[in-house]
Amino acid sequence: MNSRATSPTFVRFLVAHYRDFLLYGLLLGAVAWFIASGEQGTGYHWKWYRMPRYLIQFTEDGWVLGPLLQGLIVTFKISGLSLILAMIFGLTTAIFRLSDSFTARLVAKGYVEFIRNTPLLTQIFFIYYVIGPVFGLDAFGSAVLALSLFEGAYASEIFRAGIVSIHKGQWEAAYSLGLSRQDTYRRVIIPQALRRILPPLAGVGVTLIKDSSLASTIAIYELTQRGNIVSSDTFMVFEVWFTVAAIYLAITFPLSLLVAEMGKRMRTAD
Amino acid sequence: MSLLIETIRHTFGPKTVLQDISLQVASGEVVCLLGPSGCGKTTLLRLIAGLEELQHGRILIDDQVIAEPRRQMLPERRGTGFLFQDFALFPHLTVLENTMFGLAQRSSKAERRAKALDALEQVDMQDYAAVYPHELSGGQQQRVALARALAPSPRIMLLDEPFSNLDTRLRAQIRDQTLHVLKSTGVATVMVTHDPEEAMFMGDRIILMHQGHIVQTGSPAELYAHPVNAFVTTFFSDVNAISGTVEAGAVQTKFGTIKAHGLPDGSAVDILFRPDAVSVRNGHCALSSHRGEAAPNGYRTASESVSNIAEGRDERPLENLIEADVLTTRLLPGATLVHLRIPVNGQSDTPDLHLHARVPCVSPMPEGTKVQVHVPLDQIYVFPKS
Repeated sequence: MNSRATSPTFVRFLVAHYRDFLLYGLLLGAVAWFIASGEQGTGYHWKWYRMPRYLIQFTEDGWVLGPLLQGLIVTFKISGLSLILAMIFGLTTAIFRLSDSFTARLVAKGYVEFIRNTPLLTQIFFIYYVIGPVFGLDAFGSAVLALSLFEGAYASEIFRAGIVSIHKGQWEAAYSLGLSRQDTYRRVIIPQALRRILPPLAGVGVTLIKDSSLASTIAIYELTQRGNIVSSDTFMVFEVWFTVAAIYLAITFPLSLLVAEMGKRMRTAD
Repeated sequence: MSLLIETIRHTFGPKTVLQDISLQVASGEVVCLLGPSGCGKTTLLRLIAGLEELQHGRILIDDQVIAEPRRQMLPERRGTGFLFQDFALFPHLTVLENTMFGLAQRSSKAERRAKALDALEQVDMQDYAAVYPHELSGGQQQRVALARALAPSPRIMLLDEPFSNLDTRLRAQIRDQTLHVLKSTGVATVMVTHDPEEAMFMGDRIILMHQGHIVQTGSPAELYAHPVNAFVTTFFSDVNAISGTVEAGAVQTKFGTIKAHGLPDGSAVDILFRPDAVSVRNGHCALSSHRGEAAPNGYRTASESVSNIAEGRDERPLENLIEADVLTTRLLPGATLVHLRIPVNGQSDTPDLHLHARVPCVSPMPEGTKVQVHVPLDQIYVFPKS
């Protein structure tokens, strides 16, 4: 970013809001003091110097990823696959819900209501222990299926809102130009709807990364599960969970900023 | 490329919006569906396009049934072009892509491109091929929408209030261009409008609708000069209205005796005539705006006849010429509107008559000017009192 160019405005902002900054500093200090005193109270000894080896390590084989970063890769795999599937589930469900067929509407509505009104953890267990054995799904497959079904239900509402927001005239114009319903969806409605719903859809991606931590409950060695193992191996509870939280934050926060930025651009483009 | 509609009836819930509608549009003809909002004209257009499901009756294009109850051809198969009120351009596509849209089924991409460019050229928008719709003005968007609808060479063009989103000056220009483009393609066209001037400008024929019925069908001149009822008369212009009673098969008015065709004696009637049927004579300058006469001669003929009457050398009955006072005059585009008061001669219990005359020139007259007024009897319409 062009911080040099914006610095005068930033200084002005700082001067104008000095009381807010003071208050914010005080608050952070209080939190730090609270943690420090807790550490002393429990007799905790920080061992940050031992943390890097769990992230990345230099051995005779060269650089080797530590357990936490290996977990992060699994997290990425689960989230990425689930996101793709969730988009497919979401779009299909949205089109079903807007279809003329009663059966399609009922199926879609039933799916969305069931998913949205039961806990994700229960769904993961249900798929892993009940559906998984029946269809021969392993833990990874179960986690991906559970997460994508869950996020797909939410994504379908976003898709539906996007499709409904496209003016009826666009449908009619496409029909009058000789397009079938399917082609109208593909060439007129979805491209326009996608633009409008990209910000909330990216939000689904952020949620998905966070929710993937629940896959740790069915013995998948993703970031949270790795953190769990490292912390119980080393008893560095504070350091490990601070680090794990920071890694999640480092991934999701830029994504959230991107979402916010996209939202702003969409609004100005409309 | 002709359209035939037979006995269409349509209801929305308990409300009947179309009742026994039959009409025909020939190739190359522009027919205007005219009527106040809520008269069912747009529903009729949407039925033809297949955007609304037909409930009763039949629609045929080129002798092929495209819709009857429970057997509807899908809108995309009908070969109708539809120009929407809000244009409904696709915002995510360029002007050229928009125009190429309806040509999807056709041959090679190069051919589609050439055809789309042809259509854009027809509406003089070829320079904007790479531009997105939101960058265009309203008039340009309308032209692109027209090109897009015409590019697939539809059998029938349907226009739904295509000019109502344009400002007044642009509207005149765009509708002139639209008319010429439609006429040059020779496509049968149905246009919906609520504006009688627009219908007269665009239409070879006008179908005037009211509350789901067709009230009158005919050329603009027929509807304007020979309205079948008071609704038709008042729809095309502001009118002068006076009341009267039928006596011995006729109505006595200050302007003469008018035959009351088929109306029983003693029935109350409305006597209607348009402001432009009223000619006004002021001293030596006679002003009139009689229709039905050739434009340059019409003015002179009318004024001569009026001045002849005034001098009493004409055979015409003198009661056709009435004394009136000017209340005020207002200049309108191409005409002057004269507000007149005709004093009542004491014996009558009716109040003074207030008339409007629309005379074709800039002719301001001070208040209280004494003038003589003449209304030709064939331009006075008598209808049962509503």
